[in-house]
Amino acid sequence: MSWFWAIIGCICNAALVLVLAPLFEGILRKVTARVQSRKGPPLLQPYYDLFKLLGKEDIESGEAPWAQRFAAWLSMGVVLAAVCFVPMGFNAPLGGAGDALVLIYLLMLGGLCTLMAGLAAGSTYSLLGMSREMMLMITLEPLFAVAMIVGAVHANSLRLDAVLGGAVYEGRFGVSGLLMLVVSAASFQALVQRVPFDIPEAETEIMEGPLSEYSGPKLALFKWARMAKLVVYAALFVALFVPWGSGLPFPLGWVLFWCKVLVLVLLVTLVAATHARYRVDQAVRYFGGMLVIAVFALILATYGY
Amino acid sequence: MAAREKLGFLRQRFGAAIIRADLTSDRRLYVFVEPRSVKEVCRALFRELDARYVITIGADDRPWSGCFMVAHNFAFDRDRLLVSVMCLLPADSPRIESISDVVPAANWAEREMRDLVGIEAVGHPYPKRLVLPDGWPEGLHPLRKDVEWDEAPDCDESGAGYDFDDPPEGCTVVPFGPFHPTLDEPAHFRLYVEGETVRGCEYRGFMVHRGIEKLAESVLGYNDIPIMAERICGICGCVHNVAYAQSVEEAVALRPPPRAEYIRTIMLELERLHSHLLWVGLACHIVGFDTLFMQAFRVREPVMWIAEKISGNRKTYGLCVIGGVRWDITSELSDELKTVLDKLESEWHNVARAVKNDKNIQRRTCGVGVADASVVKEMGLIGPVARAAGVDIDCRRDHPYAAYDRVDFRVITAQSADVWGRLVVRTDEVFESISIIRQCLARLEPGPIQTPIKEDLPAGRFGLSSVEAPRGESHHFVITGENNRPRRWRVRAPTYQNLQGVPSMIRDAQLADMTIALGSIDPCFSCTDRIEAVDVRSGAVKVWTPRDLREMAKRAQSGRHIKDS
Amino acid sequence: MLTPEQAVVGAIFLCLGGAVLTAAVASSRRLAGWAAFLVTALSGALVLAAVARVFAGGASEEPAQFLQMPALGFALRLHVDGLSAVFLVLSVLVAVPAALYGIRYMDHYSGYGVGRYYPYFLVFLAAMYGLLTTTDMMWFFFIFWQMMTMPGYALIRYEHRIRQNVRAANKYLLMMQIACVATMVGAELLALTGAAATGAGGLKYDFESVRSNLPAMLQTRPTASAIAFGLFLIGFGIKMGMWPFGQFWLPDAHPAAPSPVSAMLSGVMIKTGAYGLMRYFLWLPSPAVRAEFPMASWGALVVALGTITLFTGTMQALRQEQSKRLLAFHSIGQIGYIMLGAGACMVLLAKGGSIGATLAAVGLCGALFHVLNHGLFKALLFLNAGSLLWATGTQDLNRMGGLVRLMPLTAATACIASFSIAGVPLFNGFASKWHIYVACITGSSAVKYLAVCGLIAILTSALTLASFMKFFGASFLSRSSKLVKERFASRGRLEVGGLMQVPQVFLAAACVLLGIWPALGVVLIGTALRQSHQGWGEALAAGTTASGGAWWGVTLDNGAAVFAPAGVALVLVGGLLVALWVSRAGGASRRIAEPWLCGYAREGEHNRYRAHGYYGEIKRLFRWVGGGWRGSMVEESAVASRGNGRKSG
Repeated sequence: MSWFWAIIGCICNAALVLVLAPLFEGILRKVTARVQSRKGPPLLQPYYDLFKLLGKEDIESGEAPWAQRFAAWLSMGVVLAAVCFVPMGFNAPLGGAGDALVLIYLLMLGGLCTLMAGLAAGSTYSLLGMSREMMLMITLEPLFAVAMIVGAVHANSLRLDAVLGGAVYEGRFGVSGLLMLVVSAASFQALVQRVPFDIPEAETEIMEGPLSEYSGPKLALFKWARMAKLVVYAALFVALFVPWGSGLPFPLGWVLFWCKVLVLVLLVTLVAATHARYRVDQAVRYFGGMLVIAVFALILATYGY
Repeated sequence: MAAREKLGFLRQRFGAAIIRADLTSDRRLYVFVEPRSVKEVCRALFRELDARYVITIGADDRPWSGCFMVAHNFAFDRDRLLVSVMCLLPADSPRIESISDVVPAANWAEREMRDLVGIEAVGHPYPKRLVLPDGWPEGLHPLRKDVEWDEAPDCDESGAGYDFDDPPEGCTVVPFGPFHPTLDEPAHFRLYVEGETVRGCEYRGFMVHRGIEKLAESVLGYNDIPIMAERICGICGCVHNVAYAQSVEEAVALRPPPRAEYIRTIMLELERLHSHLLWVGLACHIVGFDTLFMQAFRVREPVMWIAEKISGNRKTYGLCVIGGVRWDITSELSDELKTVLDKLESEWHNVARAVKNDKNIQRRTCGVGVADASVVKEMGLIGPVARAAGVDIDCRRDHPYAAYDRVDFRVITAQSADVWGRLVVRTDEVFESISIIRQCLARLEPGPIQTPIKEDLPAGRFGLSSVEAPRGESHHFVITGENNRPRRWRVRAPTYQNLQGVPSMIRDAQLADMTIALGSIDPCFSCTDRIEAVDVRSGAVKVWTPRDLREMAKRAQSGRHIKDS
Repeated sequence: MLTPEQAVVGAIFLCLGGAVLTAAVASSRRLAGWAAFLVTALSGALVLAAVARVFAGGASEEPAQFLQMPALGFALRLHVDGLSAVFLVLSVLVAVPAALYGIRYMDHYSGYGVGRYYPYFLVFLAAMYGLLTTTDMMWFFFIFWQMMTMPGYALIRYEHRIRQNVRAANKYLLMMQIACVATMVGAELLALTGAAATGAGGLKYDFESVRSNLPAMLQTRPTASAIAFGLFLIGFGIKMGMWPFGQFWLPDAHPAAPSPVSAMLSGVMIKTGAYGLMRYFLWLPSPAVRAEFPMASWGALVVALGTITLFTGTMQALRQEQSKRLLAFHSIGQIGYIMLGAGACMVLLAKGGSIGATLAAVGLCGALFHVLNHGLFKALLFLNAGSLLWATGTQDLNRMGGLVRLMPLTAATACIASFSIAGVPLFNGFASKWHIYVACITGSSAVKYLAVCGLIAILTSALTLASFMKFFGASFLSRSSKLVKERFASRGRLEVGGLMQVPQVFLAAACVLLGIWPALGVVLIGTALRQSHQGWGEALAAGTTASGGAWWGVTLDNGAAVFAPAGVALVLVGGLLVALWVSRAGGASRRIAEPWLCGYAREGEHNRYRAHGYYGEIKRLFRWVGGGWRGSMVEESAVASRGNGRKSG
């Protein structure tokens, strides 16, 4: 029976993320517009955009169209696979099939699709963007990994239900957890590919970078996956660092969880609206500095702090 | 005084090589020089007397003197003096020694002269085609008087007409433009990129060159040209409008009434206001800070409205005629303008503070796109680019025109020579402009706004006018002529010089800095092109080939009554 | 029924006989090639039979002796235990595809005869079998070592008219002899101290004697034995490409050799170093000398060196633009992972306790699994690089591009290999790295610094991904280069023939299989450890990750870590199906267009973004790691259009 519930949980998570992601994007756009003294698009605009894109002509520029197609499918597929390992108000449905390491690498696989997309399209700009994306991934992925590992070290287990339940704050003072909270918050914009770290896309420099050659349904998939990523990372962040109240009985705990996610999305919006884009070398150095702090936090964690 | 001094110096150095000199006032000097000495004279002016290079003009003067004419214009900003070194070249061999190795800033102007007038600059370091399109036939020079204004040769459209340089070893060429989100107008840069680092670039612009100068010299009349001049640029049109009118007025010694001069000043400053506000917004957009971009545009909007109230248009004010202006500023408009300015001032304080205190903007602009004083001198850079490098030049003070000699204002400079410096200079200039407009409004006295012209304007006179556009000095050169139109009208927009400084600004910079470095000169490609935007009607599915467009243009003009031709 | 030892000796002599045979028929390229392949395959079958017998529990108790000359105290003593078995399996898995690949591949060396290829290849293989099974630390170690080094030397300088290759071969020879001397001096030292400590006469160089002498030795002469073990570490470190020694020879030697040999060098030969490391540090000492042997210190040293090796090797690889040189640097990097796993095992063993023992087993299991996996995917990558070289005539990634259309099968296998080495889940590289990470991270409760080492390993896997995105992207994806277009126009077909495809497909299938069912590998290694009766082997066997379960995944003994790739694959496939349905749902039509270049520029060689441009910032930031690509320009018979005058960075 546990398998049955795992499958139901996977389907619920995936459906929830797919349906809610554009709504969060809509909220994000509306709030951005308000900050910028604009009226902004209707709340449901991202849905309209996606549906319109799904029907538009699909122009393929690469010499290997199947590689482009595969990259697009994979970008969505990976996100849907990853949501099965993320608790969304309940425990991660597929926690029995993978641990924190698997989750870290699954999310990395999501970045890999963008790389594949850029490489397959092959234009100068998409390759430039792909190179930038990779450079960011190199510095970002360990940061995110440390956050999970700190939890794992405290819990002395890599199982998702052990790590994603406030384990980061365990230990004598929870210093390492707090440090990682700061580091993760400071690099969260990059994880969800928003300003000021939307460097690989940088519309005003390299014209959406890896995605510049995509249109129609493929672009819809990439965009949808990106919106979903915001929800997935926000949920992960909440599960890792803001676990309080998740033990409440069903409707309350669940609603509280999504409220926390929403607040996080609003914070992302505000940061995105009030910052200028970093240059890639600046970003790499910035995350390099973050990594030093993260390693320090990890050392603290191993000593039980 | 200064003019005589410089002339004395030149006479002493070059003796008989100086054929003739015209001193129309103590602020203008026209020296006619033997062709073989031109380069040395320019070297003496540029290197020894530390003049600033302005522009080189080639003219086909064969119908009148039987010669081609070349003029190299220089400015002595401290002495309020503009100098034109002129020489006549025989009609059968229009060749002159290039001055680009002595005055690097003359690079483009000499290439343009070769392209459009067919005067060869011998020994030019980089003699590639500049203005003419890729497939344009060799030997056809549109600005020669024997070429019809609507000449449309068959161009080789295979794209074979122009060879680009090879990139340095290890570099990839990243094409930038003509259609790029950060470029509002077409221009093509070939960036030589190694990884993320720009090692150099090649520029190919003038993609929509319309030939306004040819039109003015062959079709339009004196008072049509200001309207056309205004269309040179979508942002600083009024500058060209005023500069043209002033150069003609100077050539024929006509002085507009004081009220007209004040109105010109007000409109020029209004234009500077909306241009700088736009630029700050765009700069923020380029570095990905869209909130400030939107806010800057919101703050800017009332300026456009008041301009519309005054002139009937948000842009293209249609302000000047020879000898005055067309629109008056009534007392109601004056009051309204004052309120707009008050609101703008307080709002701009907020925006300026937000911009200047933002760490991210500083991170993206400090040390980026550096053009120091030596580059400014060598490449003839002007406007905020020069002032940000601590080069204290501003035509409003140095070559005063309109009512600028009657108002007080500071010339804002910075020392950092980078994009940040340009940002600071422009942000602060907004406050100076507000102050200038207020002073003008206070001093605006009743009176006529036009000086009537009684008789035909005399032919064969020279006129120079430098107007400080938001982007730097706009320089117009006019030789008056017959048939109610000039023989030669040469426009040098600020972007023409500033663009030549871009390669050195972006060399060894990050690719991400390229857009903001380019943006920092506030490039206006249409200014260099002297073009008119082609209105592409939406919904049309037909793809217009260049040939179709030419046919269409010919059909249109054959049905039109062309005045005075 | 042959004993395992007899089978291996048979395989060795078969190979040696095959060497003579191929030398005799070398005038016919094709015949020599097939002969070499058949000999390789037969010897492989013999070895596999031996291994199967060991796994079935039929390992001999004692080493078997051959060629005895009691008067001289000389005998070929072989013993096939579990540890040897794992490495033997790897040798066979790599050697057979490499031999098959070579048949057609060698055709493109038209200027060089195969008489200097196949015989050496077979001797090389024989030496490998021998070195992995001999228990003699002196004479037969020396003989096999030289049997491996000398043909290796000849194979690396196969294209001897290119000066660079000769230089590379000389470097290789020099380093191998230094390693040989270091290891032999170490063995001599152990034998001397052993004799002195126990007072027994005569020098004994076999494992059993040394093992039995070890407790006394460690008690009375700790310094001498420490020096001996230090020399072993240096010797085997040189062999396997450990930092800082690997950088001297490995990146030059691997690209110089013909590709199947590169596959053997990187896939198997350097693993003999890892074998030596495990054999001498984990199988010579045993639980009996737990108190005396400074396992914690040696382990810490190996962990530190492993971490440095994996980071520097990979970071230097990131700067490479020559396909095989890039792969060679990655060999160093991946050896670092193996060392990290083995080192983690050592320090955790020293720490003891139940969790220590469990995680030590996980670490060793990860290291051994990675030995196997690295052999498979790296051999595949070298074969891919060989196919690229065969098709385009260059190793320069800058001059390739867009080959996926022209070489679809090679591209697919290269993609699998790249994902494997980059540690993408569902491929075998991740399965073994997962073990190493688990050992490091959960092991940090016992040994603090392991967590940071694990983190560096995770960071490095991102670097590996970057590097292989470049390798794969610059050659197969992006846009066709001028060179590729010209080659295609002149040859009509670039994809390699069936004989070269089969080995690539075989290795790729193995990578995927082990990636989705890592339990296969874990069970194999667990069985192997149980069949290692000496040293720590058997003690560790108990702690290997439990396998089985619904998806044949792997689970840590105490359940603190789980990984069931088949389950992950299932949801991923589900997600892909949803994506597929979504993309079809709108009924959008498709069209092919040129990439957008801002409307004016035309696509050409100049505006292709080439391998040189990738990751400029990271390369600049880590310039201090070294590993310049300069001097790496491979001399080619074809006209080389790229000069050396570029600035790096």
